[in-house]
Amino acid sequence: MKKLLAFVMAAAMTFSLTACGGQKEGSGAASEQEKPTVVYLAEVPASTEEQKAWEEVAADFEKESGIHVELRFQGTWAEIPQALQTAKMSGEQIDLVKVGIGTIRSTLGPAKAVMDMTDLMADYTDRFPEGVLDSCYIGGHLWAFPYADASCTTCLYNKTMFDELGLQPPTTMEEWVAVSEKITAEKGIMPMIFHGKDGWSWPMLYFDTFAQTSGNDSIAQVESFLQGSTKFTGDAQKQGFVLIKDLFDKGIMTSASFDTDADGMIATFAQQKAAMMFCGTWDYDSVKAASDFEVAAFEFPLMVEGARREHAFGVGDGAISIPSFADQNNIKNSMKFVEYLLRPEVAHKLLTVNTPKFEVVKGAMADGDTVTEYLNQYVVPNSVMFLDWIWPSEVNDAFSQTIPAVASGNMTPEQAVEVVQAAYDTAVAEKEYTYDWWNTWTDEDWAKVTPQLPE
Amino acid sequence: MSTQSAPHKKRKTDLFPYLMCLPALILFVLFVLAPFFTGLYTSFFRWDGFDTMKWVGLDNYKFSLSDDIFWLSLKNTLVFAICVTIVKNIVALALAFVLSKSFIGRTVFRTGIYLPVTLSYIVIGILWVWIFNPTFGLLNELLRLAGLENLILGWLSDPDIALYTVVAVDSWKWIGYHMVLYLAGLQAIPQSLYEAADIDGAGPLTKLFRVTIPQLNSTIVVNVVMSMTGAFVANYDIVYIMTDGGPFHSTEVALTHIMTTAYKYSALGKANAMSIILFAIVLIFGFAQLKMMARDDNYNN
Repeated sequence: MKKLLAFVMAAAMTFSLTACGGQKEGSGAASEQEKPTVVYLAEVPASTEEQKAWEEVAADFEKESGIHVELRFQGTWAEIPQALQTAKMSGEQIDLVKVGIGTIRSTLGPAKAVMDMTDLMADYTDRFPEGVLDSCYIGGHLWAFPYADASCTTCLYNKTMFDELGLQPPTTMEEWVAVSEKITAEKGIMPMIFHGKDGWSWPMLYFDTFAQTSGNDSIAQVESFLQGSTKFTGDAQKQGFVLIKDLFDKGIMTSASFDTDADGMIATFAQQKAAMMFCGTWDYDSVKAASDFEVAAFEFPLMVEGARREHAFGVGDGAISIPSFADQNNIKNSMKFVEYLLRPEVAHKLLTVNTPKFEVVKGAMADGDTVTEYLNQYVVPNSVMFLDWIWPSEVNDAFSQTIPAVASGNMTPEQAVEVVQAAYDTAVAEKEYTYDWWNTWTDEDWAKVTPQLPE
Repeated sequence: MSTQSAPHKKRKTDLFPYLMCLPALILFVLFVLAPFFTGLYTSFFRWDGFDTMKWVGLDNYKFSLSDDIFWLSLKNTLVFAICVTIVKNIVALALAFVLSKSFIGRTVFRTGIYLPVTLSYIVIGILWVWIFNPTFGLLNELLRLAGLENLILGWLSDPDIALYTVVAVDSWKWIGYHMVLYLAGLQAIPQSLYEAADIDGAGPLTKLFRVTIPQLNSTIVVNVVMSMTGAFVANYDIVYIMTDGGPFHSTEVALTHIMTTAYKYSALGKANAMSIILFAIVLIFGFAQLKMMARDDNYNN
């Protein structure tokens, strides 16, 4: 009897194990018993308010259309490509995915992981302000549409403290050094803080320095490098590193920036242990909420004579796309949800949960403050695309590692550019990396990413 | 008839243990063998995880072996594993000695030392990153208060120190676990051996090296093998959270580099080749360790 019981239990466990997983393909399509379902994969929302807004929108959409939307929020923004990869391997249903357009350009696009949305989105391009969709076109095809605030690099400062010390925000390197010296002397605090513990943040500094050292030709020079036409070992490239090192050598930033992450940076600034910070506009809301003094922004100062100040800016860091392995029979349902998301009132509800700095979808803009106005007035008109939206991951990683190494004196700029060049060469040798992958595709390749809508 | 039914009954009886092992076997096949052989198979292909796989033979192994960062990560993994094994075992054994004695508050100390074992790497990582923060960190503040400003370091940003900082945190997390194993080992040593040693006039050190450590040998083998193999293959979380392999790859361990290669660089074939190489190294290490440390008489009792 004992043996029989043990056998039954073992069999039950075996059965339950074999029953794990195994989703039926095409489960999103309508069936007689079940509602059609659209699965939306995105990172965990930044706040409970944002999550609640998405849940309400999904419920309202279901009421209107009869299509259920499964919101699958998991991990961080950076982990979405991995989640998508895992979903593909395990045969999970994903109909829409939120991912950065830079990731599509460098990784998901060449891997044929997302669909060409050019035709699907043809009727909805007028839902976006002019020029907003531009960065989502790669090789003349639209791969995603932006559905999150645009962003740029910026310098924030404690205006209350600056006023108290009679300081003006710096516009040149000399002024920046003078301001920093006065802050250190008068307040005994570090002038500027940066979240250098987050490796990914270091290239942000390089975007702004290289824009100047390249003679405001950074995008073209990077494209030329990635096409294999030029090496990344020229003077302008090295000088981009040197200027970042200068920030530390001249006392504008201190070694604390190497050990400080984004939360630490905001806390340091908000507790007035630093008077300035270099960050992305995505940090502004948290900084504003945590600070009991007036916060203002200034442009990255001019460091190279004869150059123009340019700032990294991008629309599409959070963009919605359709995975190439999505169920073709369900694309119509997905596009119904896309159309719903792009209605001004829905976009307003979702995109203004966190105060937007820029209008990405028509109708999705809240009243701005002085910083928002400043960014739109001065930063956006003088901006270039984030370079890490163009670089392959290997090159981006090389920058993330070499910039702090140069800034801390552990590597020379000459060595740094060699490391960057080597990372590119490795990607070419091992992965057959090509910058303009869309030009190398065959008809068979295009067929994999072209929606085949049922009649 | 009876002669034929006996072997038949015997066969039925023999089948039973195998059936009992079936659930565990299915788990082993599904979550160990199948991924291993899939990894081995895909290591011969160029594959980004989405598009069609392309056969490249041994290229991924060649690329892995010519990858400087992979070699650096292997070296860091080895340093991490050796340091963590030494620190965990020496401190855990010392604590076990102290906490095997009877004194007031012993249970509180035991619980306190074991507590980090129950915390997740995410909690521990974030906690220690804040402790090491240069502006608000408790550690630097304590050093300042103690007038030891010279000892304030870039705990996670100095490439010469960062790996050892991670070693310290990982050791802190697991010392309680190893201490419990050593405590159990100490309590299993017959008191009569110490009494005999006392009669022979043995001092505390002689008793330690002639009685305690030889009697603890099997516990030491288990602890050392567990901490060494664990440090080789279970260091991803703590490194990822505390340093993500930086600064300048100084804390890059094999697992973080493999994950970066697989999911950031979308080179799953190369990442799998690295995993196979790491597996071979851990296998050799584990086998050599067992051969060197295990004695037949360890398990006789």
